[in-house]
Amino acid sequence: MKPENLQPKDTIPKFSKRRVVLWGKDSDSIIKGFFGCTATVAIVVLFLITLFLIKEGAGFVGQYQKSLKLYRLSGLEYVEILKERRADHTALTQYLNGIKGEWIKSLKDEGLTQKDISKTVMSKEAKAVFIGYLRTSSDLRRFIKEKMDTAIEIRDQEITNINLKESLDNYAEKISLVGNYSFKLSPEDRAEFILKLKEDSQKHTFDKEKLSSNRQLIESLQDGIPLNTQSREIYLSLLKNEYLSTEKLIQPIDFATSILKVTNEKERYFSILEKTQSDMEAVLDKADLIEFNNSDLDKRRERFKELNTIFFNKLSEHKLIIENWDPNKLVPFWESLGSFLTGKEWITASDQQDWYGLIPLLSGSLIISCLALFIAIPLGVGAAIYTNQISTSLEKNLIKPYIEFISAVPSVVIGFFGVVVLGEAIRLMSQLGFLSWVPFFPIQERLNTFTAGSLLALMAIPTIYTLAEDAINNVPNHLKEASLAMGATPLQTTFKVIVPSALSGIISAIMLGFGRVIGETMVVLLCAGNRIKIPELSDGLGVFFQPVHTMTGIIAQEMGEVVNGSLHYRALFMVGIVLFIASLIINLGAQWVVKKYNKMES
Amino acid sequence: MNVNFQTDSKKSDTPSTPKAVIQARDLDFSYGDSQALFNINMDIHKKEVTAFIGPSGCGKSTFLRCFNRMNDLIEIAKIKSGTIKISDVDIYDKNVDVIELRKHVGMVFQKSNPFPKSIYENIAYGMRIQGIKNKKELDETVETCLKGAALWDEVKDRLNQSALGLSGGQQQRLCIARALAVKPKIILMDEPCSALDPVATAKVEELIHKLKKQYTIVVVTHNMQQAARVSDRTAFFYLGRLVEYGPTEQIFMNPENPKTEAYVSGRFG
Amino acid sequence: MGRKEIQQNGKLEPFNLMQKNSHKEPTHLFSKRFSKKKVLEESVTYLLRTLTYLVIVLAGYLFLDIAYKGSKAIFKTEAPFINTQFLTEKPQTLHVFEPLEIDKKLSKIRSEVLSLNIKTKSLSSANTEQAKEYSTTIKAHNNEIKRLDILRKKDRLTFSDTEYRALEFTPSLDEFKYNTYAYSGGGIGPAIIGTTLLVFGSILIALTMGVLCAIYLSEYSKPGRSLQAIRLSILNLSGVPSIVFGLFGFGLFVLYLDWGVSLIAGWFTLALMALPVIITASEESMRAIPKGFREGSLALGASKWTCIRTNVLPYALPGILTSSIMGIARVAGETAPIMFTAAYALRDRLPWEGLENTTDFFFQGVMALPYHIYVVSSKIPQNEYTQNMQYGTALVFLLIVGSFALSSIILRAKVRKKYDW
Repeated sequence: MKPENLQPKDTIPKFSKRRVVLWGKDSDSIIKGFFGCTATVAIVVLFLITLFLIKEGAGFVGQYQKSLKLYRLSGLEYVEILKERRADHTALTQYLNGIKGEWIKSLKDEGLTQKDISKTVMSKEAKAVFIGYLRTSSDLRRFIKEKMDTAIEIRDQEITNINLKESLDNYAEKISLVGNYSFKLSPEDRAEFILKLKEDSQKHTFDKEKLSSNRQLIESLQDGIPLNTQSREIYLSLLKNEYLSTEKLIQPIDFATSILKVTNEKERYFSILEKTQSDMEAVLDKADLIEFNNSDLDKRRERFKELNTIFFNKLSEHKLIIENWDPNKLVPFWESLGSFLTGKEWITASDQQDWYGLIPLLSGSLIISCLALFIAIPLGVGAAIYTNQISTSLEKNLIKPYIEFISAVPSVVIGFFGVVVLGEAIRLMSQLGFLSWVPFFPIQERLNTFTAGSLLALMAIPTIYTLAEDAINNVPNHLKEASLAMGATPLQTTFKVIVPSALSGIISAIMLGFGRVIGETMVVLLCAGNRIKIPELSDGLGVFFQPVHTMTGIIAQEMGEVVNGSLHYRALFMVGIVLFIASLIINLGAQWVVKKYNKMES
Repeated sequence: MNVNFQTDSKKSDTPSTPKAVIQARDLDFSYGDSQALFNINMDIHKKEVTAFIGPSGCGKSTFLRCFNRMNDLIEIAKIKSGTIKISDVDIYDKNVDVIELRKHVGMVFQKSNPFPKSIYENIAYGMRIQGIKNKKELDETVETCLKGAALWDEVKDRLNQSALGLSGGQQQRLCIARALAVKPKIILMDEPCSALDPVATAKVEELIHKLKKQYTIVVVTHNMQQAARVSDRTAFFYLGRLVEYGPTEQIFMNPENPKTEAYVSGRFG
Repeated sequence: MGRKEIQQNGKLEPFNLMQKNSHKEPTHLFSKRFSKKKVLEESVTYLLRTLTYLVIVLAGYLFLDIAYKGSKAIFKTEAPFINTQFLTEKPQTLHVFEPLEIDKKLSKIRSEVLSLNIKTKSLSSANTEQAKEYSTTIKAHNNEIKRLDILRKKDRLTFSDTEYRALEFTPSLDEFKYNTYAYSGGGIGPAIIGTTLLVFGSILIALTMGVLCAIYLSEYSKPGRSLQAIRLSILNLSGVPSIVFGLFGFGLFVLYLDWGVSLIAGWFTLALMALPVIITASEESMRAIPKGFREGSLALGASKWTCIRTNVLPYALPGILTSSIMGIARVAGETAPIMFTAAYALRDRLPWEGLENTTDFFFQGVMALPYHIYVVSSKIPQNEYTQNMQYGTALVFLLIVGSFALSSIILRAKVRKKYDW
């Protein structure tokens, strides 16, 4: 470029608007609009997730309410109350069997042979107690079974009715469609029509005329000939026949009378209860005749008697509940939501009643997450402090990327490692002789809370480490200098100045680690054991070696098998909503901690 | 120029004088490949205020940070040759405990840097790290130190409030008080007033004057008037070399080196 | 140093003397002294170091275990050293014929060992001689087991499904014990292809939408409450569990839009999952560019778009790309979102085979490595015949995801150094 070209030309500057390109807009605002549109699309789609989850989940409340209502109306709830006594009796029987088992063991320790032992245990007195006790409940069991079958029958009939009504509606719709002259056979309709004609032919095997006309019609239909007036009439009549026969199948249930089939015979039930009680008391009297010659067993026998007394005392209350049970009590909608949030059972595809209770899943998720954090916090925060404050720069340059790399390891690979290596290793370790003093060793299941928790810890460590290291790194250097200049040791500086200053960041790192752990799916699905049961805290530390199921795991496991729009499908969406809300709370909490602390500082 | 010269300034001491508490000999210092200090020899005297002046990047702060080995924190920083002795101990000897050294040599930084704790805890920090837990002893020392830093009257009613709520000048005096709590013998100040307004500066200067009776103080400053006001001796650094060192009066009124004269008269820097 | 120091000196005199003798160096004001505090300090340092290295060792064990056992599946001892069969073939059922005689012998000895073990346990502690005798017998049995095992491995026959069908006559069941193991034969070719398709498709969608969205948010939108809210919600969405995205994708794409279990449903589900990460990262790297760059360009009369095109995007691009590689690693590593949107446990057709319409390509399910790992680790037993498939798949997957992650980590470090303003 020649120098003179650089001289500004002596023309009047033009500040007019930029050239219009399209629709009265200049190019810049079109570009802006384009970006705006894509941004809107992206953001709208992200919000759609929330909306869709809520839409699919919201139907759960109503559907579950209906299910619970039917549960009450059909008398299943009543049977469930009856079953409580049976369950208590079973528990008592199990306790008695436990005594028996221990008795055999103590006899073995005394050095008796197998023969002698069975002789003692199967002696007349012992038999009268152990087997006699079991027999005391047979009447009760029979009665309850009877009632349960009745209630299930009523419930099933009602469900069949609902389904039939739905298909009736479908037929009605179809009939009105076909009745319209503009109706044209779609390929599916054609196939259906042919099928119906064939069925019709089978019904009238002796009516030769009909058979031949049907055959003709089928052939013409198979050739793709459209509907004419005559065939339309035939189609309509077939559909109407279908409608009527379906209608006949519906046997409306009058719950007010049907429930009586379940709730009648209360007197008989009470007399059965009384008989059971007197039988049990008779057996208990005989129990004293057995000579255990063992103070422990004697003690357990006493305890057994006490438990029986409790059982007897409960009976009057039980009778009262049964008398007062009302099948027409309303099921408000919050009860269905409440029974989801506080329900202690998650039972699907059962022949009695499906229960969708969050508690076993939530408690499983929480216990695994807590264990994982318990392991991950010291390791993650400790490693962050070490690399940032103590290690040499070479160590730091190696350790940091290494731990960051761990975070990229796919969760399914970690879960796989748990299945093939860690689970087995833990079980083998628990069987070692010198560890037998640990109360819950050896463990039964190789896939349990501990397996999943320790692997999740490995996944949480990189998250906690990276964020905590960042927080420590962000502490102004002059604070460190000030502390060191006063003669504090590097470690004192770290723990008294730097860690407290970075505390908000560390806490938020831990919270985000928690978020990662509770939302993790594959590891828990593969390694947690997937037993839907609330962890038994009474086991002490053994609680960490029980198999559990989790919220994420249940979605992954059951989603593939559910029917679209069914109660089960919606229940899984409800679990998804709970997870979604939990992750939002955790994230917002982490941000709030940082923000609040920053405010305090400035 | 309103210069208030110290009247008790003495003649330049010979290097072997027993009054020298810090002795630097033939000190060469470098950051990686670039040398920051060249062959520095200097004696700093007991219970006097010594000021380091010079243009930015002349190495005066680096030299100051050699006295309590704060340069150890920078990995590439290294003393190439020469020694620094404090109370006749070579502080770069491998048998020296840096922690003990730093307890002996306190430091106040350019930017006031109180910990994000309460005022009380800031002062008590130095004692806590030494394992002193006695509440009474802590209370006493906090009071003494705050009084020593002329801050007691201003903060005595809010000792438990955050130190970050204090004004800039108060924060800097708090840092000085915090340094006193460890009971050092020498206090290094790295441009203590550069971020303060004139009123706060005057208060800090007053404080330095008061502290001189008990402590040996080394001040790095950009501000020549300040050096003239507070110091007994002044050292002028230029491009990593010690150009001139002597009683403040002499440096400001009758400098030997033309560069010093040019600097103190404001012709460059 | 004060009076405390002096006191301490007085108290610790004997120790000081000792130190003097041992080191032969005079003590002075700053000399190193022994104290409990220092011991504590040292031990805390060691504790922290142990914790750090514990993490490294544990993760390292995981890597090495998978690398060692997996390399048996994907490498060979003879040229070309890579087991191309495993990497390209379709998964098949493995047919195993074990020599019946040896198997019988083995199970007999094993049961003997078991009963001996029980006998040893039931022995009272006083009976040491008997116990010794048992343990020598057990040892002998174990040696025998080892010997027989080598024989068994030599004589057994394994066939993949195609090989089995091609057999002219199957080995006689009088001589051999016959077992089949699903998925354990053949290779993982379709799974590798499926994962590649899923990752590239989804990242293309996510990157386009994410970068455009980020340009709007960082350059065009006006700061205010609504922008703040949008940023916050995007940030929060990146923390939503992947299974929730999977649930959403299943409900919306698979069922509601009726795309079925298909590639395209998987693409969109994964893209949505990566979107928040990419938007946040891209916006961050764009906002990290100094204002001066933009102002300088605008002051020279450039239009807003020119300014973005010439002075913002080129400098932000390295940052955007490195973080999107991290996004790729995340997307490639996820299983939960594709479990019911795109993945089939077994599909013996490659995605381009047997298509009637071109659109069918998008509406077909594929095999994917992560889901394949899930299937082979949970649905089939663990033994010597299935191990190759299990570990081999895990290693291949780990290598793919790991290479993305590693390149992201390295690139990020480089970019940070280069564009540090």
